[in-house]
Parts: sequence; C-alpha cells; structure tokens
Amino acid sequence: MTESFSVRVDRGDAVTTVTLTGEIDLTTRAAIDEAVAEALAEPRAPRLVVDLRAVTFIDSSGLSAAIVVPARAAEDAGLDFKVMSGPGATRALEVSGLDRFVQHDEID
Amino acid sequence: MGSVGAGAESWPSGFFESLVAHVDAAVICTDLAGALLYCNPTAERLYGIPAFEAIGRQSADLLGVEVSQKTRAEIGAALARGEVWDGDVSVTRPDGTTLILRTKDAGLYDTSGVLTGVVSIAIDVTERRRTEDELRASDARRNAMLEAGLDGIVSIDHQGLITEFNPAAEAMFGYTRSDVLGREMAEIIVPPALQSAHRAGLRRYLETGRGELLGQRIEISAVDRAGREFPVELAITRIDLPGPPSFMGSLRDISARRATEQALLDSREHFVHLARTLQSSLLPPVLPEVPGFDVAVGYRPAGEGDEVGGDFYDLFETAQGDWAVVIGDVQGKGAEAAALTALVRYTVRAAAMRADRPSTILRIVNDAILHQRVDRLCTVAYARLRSSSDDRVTATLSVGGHPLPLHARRDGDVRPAGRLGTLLGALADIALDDCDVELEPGDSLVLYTDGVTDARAAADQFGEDRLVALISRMASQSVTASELATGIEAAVAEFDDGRHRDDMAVVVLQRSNHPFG
Repeated sequence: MTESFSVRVDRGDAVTTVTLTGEIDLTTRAAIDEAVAEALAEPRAPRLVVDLRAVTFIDSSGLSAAIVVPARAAEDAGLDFKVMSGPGATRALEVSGLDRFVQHDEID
Repeated sequence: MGSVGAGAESWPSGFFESLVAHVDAAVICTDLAGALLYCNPTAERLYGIPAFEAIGRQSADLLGVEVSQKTRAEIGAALARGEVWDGDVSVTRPDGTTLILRTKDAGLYDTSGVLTGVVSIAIDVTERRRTEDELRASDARRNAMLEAGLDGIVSIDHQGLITEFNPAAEAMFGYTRSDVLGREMAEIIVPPALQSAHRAGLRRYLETGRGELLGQRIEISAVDRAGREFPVELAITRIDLPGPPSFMGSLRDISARRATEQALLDSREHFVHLARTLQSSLLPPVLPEVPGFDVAVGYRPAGEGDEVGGDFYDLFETAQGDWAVVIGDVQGKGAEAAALTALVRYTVRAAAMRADRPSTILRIVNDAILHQRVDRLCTVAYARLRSSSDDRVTATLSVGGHPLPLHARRDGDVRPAGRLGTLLGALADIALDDCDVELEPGDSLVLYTDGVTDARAAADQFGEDRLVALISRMASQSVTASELATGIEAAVAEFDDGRHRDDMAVVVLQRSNHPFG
C-alpha cells in the first residue's frame, strides 16, 4: 500500500521544497513530519513548497502532515508557503478546503 | 576344592595340556611364595607377558595385578579353608592398558592336604563391566529424570497398568507411587468421559501397531485424586524394550497457561468492549424521530472493532425547533480521536443552541478545537432542516473539509449539496458557506464519510462517481432510507472485500410524504 511512497527535501537559498510521491496516509506520517522538520531547520529559505504532483492518494492524516503542519509552521516563522498539486491530491485539497495554499502558476 | 566333575578318574592323556593351552581363560599357577610356575597362552595375552620371561619371577611384580591388602588376606583365608576365592581384579598391562579380570583363585594341595600353591583362572570382563557401568549410569540418569523432572511421568504396560509414577506425577495427581503401581491408569488419572476412548486406543495399538497419539504432543484433560479435572499437555512414547509394548506418558499441567490465555482473551474482550462503549457514547444511542423524515444510518468501524474510530454522526432538535444532522470525521483513531470526537459533537450541540447559521456553528467548533490545541483535524458536514408554513422543507448546509452530502431526487437525479469549505482544527481563518437545498417529498439527503469513497480494491477506489451512480439507481427505484443506507454499506463491503481499513458512516434522511413539524 505504501511501497510507492517517498519523500525528498531539496534545500535551496530561495526555496525549500518537500517532494512527496505515492500514497500518503497515517503510515507515512512520521516520515513526512521528519522531512518537514528538516525543511524548516535553520538556516532556511524564505519560501517553503510542498510538491504533491506525484502523489497518487492522500488522506486526512496525509493532509495534516503535508499541509497543515508546514502551513502553521511557515506562518509562525513568517515564511511563504505554497503547495503544488497534482491529479492524486487535487480532490482531497478541494474537499478539505486546503486548496487555498495551492500554487497555480508554475514555478521553477 | 569342590567336585572335579564326572569322569575325572580316567582323564585321557593330553587332556590337561590341551585344556590349559586352548581354554579362553588365563590360567596361571604360583607357589606359596608368589613365584610364577606356569602361565597359559591366554594368560600371556591378557597379562601381556611372554611366558618365557615370566616363569620363576614374582607374579605380583610381574602381572600388574592390583589387589588390596584386604583382598589379599581374604584370598589367603579362603585358600587356607580349602575354598575358592572369586572376584574382579584390575590388571595394568605393560602397555599401560587396564583390564578387569574376573578371577577364581584355587589352592593347590599336596596329598596330605597342605596348601602348596595357587591356581588362578581369569576371564576378561572389561567390556562387560563397561556395558554394565553404562547401563547403571543411564539408569541413574533416567531415575534422576524421573525423580527430579518437572513433568509427570506415568508409564504403563500393555495392559494399561501403571509401572512408573514419578514424584512430579505424585504431586500432580495426589497419589503416591505405591498407591498406583499395578493399577489401571485409565481408572486413576483419565476422566471418566475419556476412559473408554483410552482403552480402545490401547487395544487398537496392540492389534494394529498404529497409535494416533504416539510421538505427538496433545492437550487433554486429566483428573486428580480429588476428582478435579485439569488440562494437561501429554506426549506418549513407546518404551523401546523387547516383549509386549509399554508406554511412557509425559504430562504437564497447563492450567496456569490456560488461565493466562483466558485472562488475555478476557482482557482483549474487555478492551473491545471498552472501545465499543466509548464509540457508542459518541453516537446517538437511538435515532430520534424526525417529523416528516425517515432516517437511517450505516456505521462500520475500521479493523477488528478494538479501536475507537474517528467517524461520528448526530441528529438533534435545535433551540429554534429545527432539526440538525451532523456527520464528521476526526483524523486518527483511539482515545485521543475519541476525545476530540466528543469535543466536536458536544460543541456542535451547544453551539446550535445559541447560533442559527450552520457556518457559524462550525466556526465555533473550529475555534474550540484550536483552543484545545489538539494537533488533530476534523471534517464536518452540518445540515439544518427547516420547514416553512407552506410545507416546504429547506436544508441549509455548511461543510468544513468534508465530502459534500448528496441530494437524491425520486427520479434518480443525484447532485452534491452545499459548497466545499475548510476542514476544522487546522487554521484560524477558514472558508465556510451556507447553502440552501429544497427537499421535496421522497427526496433523500445522504451524508457520508470518506470511508465510503476511499474504500479500496487493489489500485481502484470506490470513489464519488460510483457512489452517485449507486444512489441514483436506488433512488429511482423508490427505495426507503434504510434500504439506501444498507445498500451503500453493502456495496462498499463488496467492493473492498470486507477489509474496511477506514471507518465509514452514512446517514440518510428521506423526506416522507407526511407534513413536517
């Protein structure tokens, strides 16, 4: 069920990106929490992006770990927070009302 | 001296020479001073001394015979009385090896009966003694095992009569060994209900040589002297001896293990019971009658029922005389999820007593969760049912992060009701709407949690489209609220093959044709 899951953190000067792949649920929560903590560690870029474009499924635990937790942390730290959505996450983001964080213009 | 045997008067010539030369016993002859007078070929071989070197020398030095002073005195005394001494003596040969020789010493007497020398006849019993020692040692080991073993050992012969009953068996059954030796085992330790089966099994083995229980470890009941039946683990082996078969049973009292197993089972049942009780405290024990509506619910907790799920629903009358139906999903499971579920459910009820707009009620809930600082999310769909004087019924929906309820018309038209809003407990600033839907007689409002749409079969998900199609088909067949709820539950269970890895809740409100209110 979660064999396709992976998480990666890319730290840059301008932006830190957490890229998630595969199925995101309760079983992947700890790994995501760890990655988000790593992404937020000092010194950090002023912008935090969570990339969900390669996600195939995400449930409420996944939304909590991948969006709510970093969104709150980014707000506390004064960072810009955006989510890049894909086909496997769009519906969950719409239903949860967390689509407000979705970045619509492509960035590089 | 004893008898020399029949025919001794006419020994053929050469008889003695041939006898001593070929007999498989060492024969030596010494004088009273101990000097060796004769030794036969077997003696040469056993003592390891060539005769030509030995004759005339002191046998005690020569032969390596280890005999204590006491034994030497005994031998002297026996010979003086005209008797034969016999006993085992140890001999160390020139090459250092040791033999045990079973020896007979007999006196040589002259015609007047005076002792003149000694004839010593010996056979090698080294191997036999070793075997005997080993047997003794193995007996000792066996006895030690019988004596000190923790397992009860009960042996029986082919008639089922007890031949061995060790101290552990004595302690286990309350009989002493002497009480039960020779008595039928079936009578003593087999519960009455099993006695005939035991006897039949033994008989069958004796007839056919086949024993189902031999070599197996089984759990069975035994009975002690006081008549108490208790569970034992039993292994029966056939004792490998010639003659009629006999058997050894090794028994272990497993009452304590059974009690532990039972306690574990009880505590798990207790835990499941607690979880169910807690779960049911989070759901209305009885659905209230909602005037003008038929109401049905479907609820299925995830897993084995030993965890409190996060799905809940509620149905109550508000202070304004409207009816509210709520469905929600608290992220996670277990006690913390249950605590948040309780908070949400009672906050909704309390908020509905002072606020009218569904979105306001959900904002109060959002604030309450944020205020509690529980790091958990919650999704809620709230519908307020209000009738007007012209018998119209309006459902006003506010939805926070939850799948939109479905509005099904009698003609099979099904569409989402309300607008998606932000889930609760995550953010202070949330987007929530209030949307009105008119409910005609026969219309149904189906509220559900994502356990329905997220149900999985391989890579496939039950999904919203499948749910809409299912409800549409049922609605066009004029099904009741209860048929709708059970139909959805059954379809999901069939889809995910009963794995239900997530909770699932469904609430169906169907407007009847009776007037509302």
